[in-house]
Amino acid sequence: MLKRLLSGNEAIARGAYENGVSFAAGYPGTPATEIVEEIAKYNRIDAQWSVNEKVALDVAVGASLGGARTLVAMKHVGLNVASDTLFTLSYTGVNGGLVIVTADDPGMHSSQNEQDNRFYAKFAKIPLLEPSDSQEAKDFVGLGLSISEIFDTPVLIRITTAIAHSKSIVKFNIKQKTNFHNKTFRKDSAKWVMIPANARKRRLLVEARLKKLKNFSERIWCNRIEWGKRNIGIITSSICYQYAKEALSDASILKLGMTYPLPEFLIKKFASKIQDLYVIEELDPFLEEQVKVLGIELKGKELFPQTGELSPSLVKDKISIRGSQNKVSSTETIEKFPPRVPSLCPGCPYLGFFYTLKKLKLFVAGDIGCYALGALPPASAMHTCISMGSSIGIALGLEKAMKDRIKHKLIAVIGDSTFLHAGIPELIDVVYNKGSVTIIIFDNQTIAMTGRQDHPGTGVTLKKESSRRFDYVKLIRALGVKNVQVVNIYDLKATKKAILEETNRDSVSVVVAKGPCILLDKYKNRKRLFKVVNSENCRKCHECLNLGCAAITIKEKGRIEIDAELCIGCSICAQLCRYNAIEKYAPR
Amino acid sequence: MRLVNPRKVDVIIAGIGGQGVLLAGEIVAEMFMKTGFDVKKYEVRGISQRTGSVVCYIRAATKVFSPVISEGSADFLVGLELIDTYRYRKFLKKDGNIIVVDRIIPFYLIGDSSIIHPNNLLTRLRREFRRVTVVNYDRIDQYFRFVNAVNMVILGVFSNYLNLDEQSWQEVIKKKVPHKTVDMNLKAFKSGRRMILK
Repeated sequence: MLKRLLSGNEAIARGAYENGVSFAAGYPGTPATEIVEEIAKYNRIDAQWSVNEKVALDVAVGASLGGARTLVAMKHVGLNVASDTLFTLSYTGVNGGLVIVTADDPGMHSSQNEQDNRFYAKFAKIPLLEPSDSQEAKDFVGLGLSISEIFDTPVLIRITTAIAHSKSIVKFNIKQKTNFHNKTFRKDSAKWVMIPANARKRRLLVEARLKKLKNFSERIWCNRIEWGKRNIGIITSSICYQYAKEALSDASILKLGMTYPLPEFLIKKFASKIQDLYVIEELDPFLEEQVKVLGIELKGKELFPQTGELSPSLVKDKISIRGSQNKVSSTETIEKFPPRVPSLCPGCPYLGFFYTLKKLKLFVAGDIGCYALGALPPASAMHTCISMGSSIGIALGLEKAMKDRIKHKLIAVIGDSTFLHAGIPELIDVVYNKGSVTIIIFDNQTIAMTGRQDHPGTGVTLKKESSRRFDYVKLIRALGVKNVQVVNIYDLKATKKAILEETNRDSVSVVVAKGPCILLDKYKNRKRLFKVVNSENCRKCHECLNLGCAAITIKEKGRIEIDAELCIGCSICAQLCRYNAIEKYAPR
Repeated sequence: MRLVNPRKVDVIIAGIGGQGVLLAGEIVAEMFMKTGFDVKKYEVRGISQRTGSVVCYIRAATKVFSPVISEGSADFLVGLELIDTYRYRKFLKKDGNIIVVDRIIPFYLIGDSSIIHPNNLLTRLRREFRRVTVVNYDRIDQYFRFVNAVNMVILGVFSNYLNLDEQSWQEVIKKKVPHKTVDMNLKAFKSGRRMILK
């Protein structure tokens, strides 16, 4: 038997392959990115990055209607964007099996919030699966597709960072059938046209479907009881199952793979034989509240935090096998050791830009991407960051509220892919409503934060085929913006001049600041002529430290040193040094 | 092939984004797979790409449940950077092994900076743990530092603590590193494996 060590994301991709998925779509977002990326590596599957999550889901709906088994993947906040389609898709149902994967981020390793997307399943009245390791991640894709086709419903698979990014052993199904046939496409307005008259009928079917799914969840193999000692019983799902197994090896466990709708009889049967019942789950009391509604007594969130990730030690601390609660959790002791503040990469094109913004003392409405790190010291030059595309709207709102008090002192900054994702309607809003906001579009030719994915602005598709390359300037002009400039972001003087010119205007303007991400493969291998400090010229003014470049450090007696392993020779520090103390150096 | 402890081995590799922590972890996990054990691997990366904290957990045992290692239970802590190795010391058991480079990658500091000094951190580590092996950064060939192959050098040092044959290590490295860099990485690994440490 073929076994591989796969991450949850890789396993989901393998599951898509083994179960005849022929179309996949998504938008990059940690920790979901690798799912669609890995699927794209299978030649048999047509896969794409869409411009945003809603578009991805819409295209997936079309593919399902066309008969294809389809998978769409996104991070938790991505499902917010796609939710408009999701809630009505629950009414229409599917044709080819349709699975939506949401990757939640408890602990907010790389997210702006910690929402528990299991509620989307309950909210939209669709079935929910939660794998607890990579093997299940693979298997649940097949299960999800079957449920989708049998019950005529989209299926939500919810993973968390600990599932998405942990690797465990997966058995491959080599004897998989390869002759998956697409379902027959047929026109059916009553099913697919959700005008009120049709939707009212489908609405009833949704409730009937939930009842059937409830019965189904009682006997599905992924919901099972692992009997141990009866004094402690655990109801759990996802990664928490692993924590419970490790911390409480003797306990009885009701392991739920399908967590909506819940198997009421199975839960009641389990609870009736257990002395002390606990629900272990991360984030919100999603299972706990539903089990309590059944009239079952249990302990859950009074023991475990509603925020962040759980761990085996936390589970052990809170539930001792002797049934008594003891010990204060050691993870709660705060370490005084200074945290490593995240920062932009050495040589990042944004370093010089945020240095300039700080000098200009502008109010900066920011957006989602690497450049959000511009909010951190030493630049501290970003003042809002909420959701994809929101920088532009927020800047307009500020102008509406504060008028002359903020005019000419306000800019919105947004990345290239973020602009395409959700920024275009916001820019139209500024033009239409006569705003005078200056918008900076960072064109670094990639979706950098999630690991450098292509997007319409790079002119390359997920399958690495060349496509039409999006032209920002033409689009922006077409939207009615008269003042558009393009600058090289590595040129500090030119960038500063452009910002000053445009912020001083009384009408809307856009600056496209070009500078490729230094981690892009095509720039990685350029000759590294890194910089060194000439100690004779250096006056120890330490202005270069204000850049926040990790390669520049202060040594004994205020001496400045540039780290050879980190420096890529971008020259930004040399541009701002008034004493020409930073010079080129080529090793060997 | 047999591991040092026949029942379980938990390894933590700590470092900074761009140093190749994840690749090193990938290689260790693949080596443990070869022993026939159940293996789990987990990595935590912050939002910074370069210069952010990165930690990788690798667990091998007859059956592994949690991919996350509990505090005070890791057998090895392998550090590519001193500050972040120090940060993860609480995961190591008292008689666990530390293998660490005495290199500091600084960061924009908020708070007390007096602690951030190599000697200071090493003294503290040695006070808490008996088995601390320090690899002097200056002793690592300048070439390996320039091409970012310090991870392979340290992996070479670490490989001496596991009873796994060198050829298997080489096979896995060949499989896991980019094609063009195979020779360079093998050399770096070898230099670490042969390094004589006090």
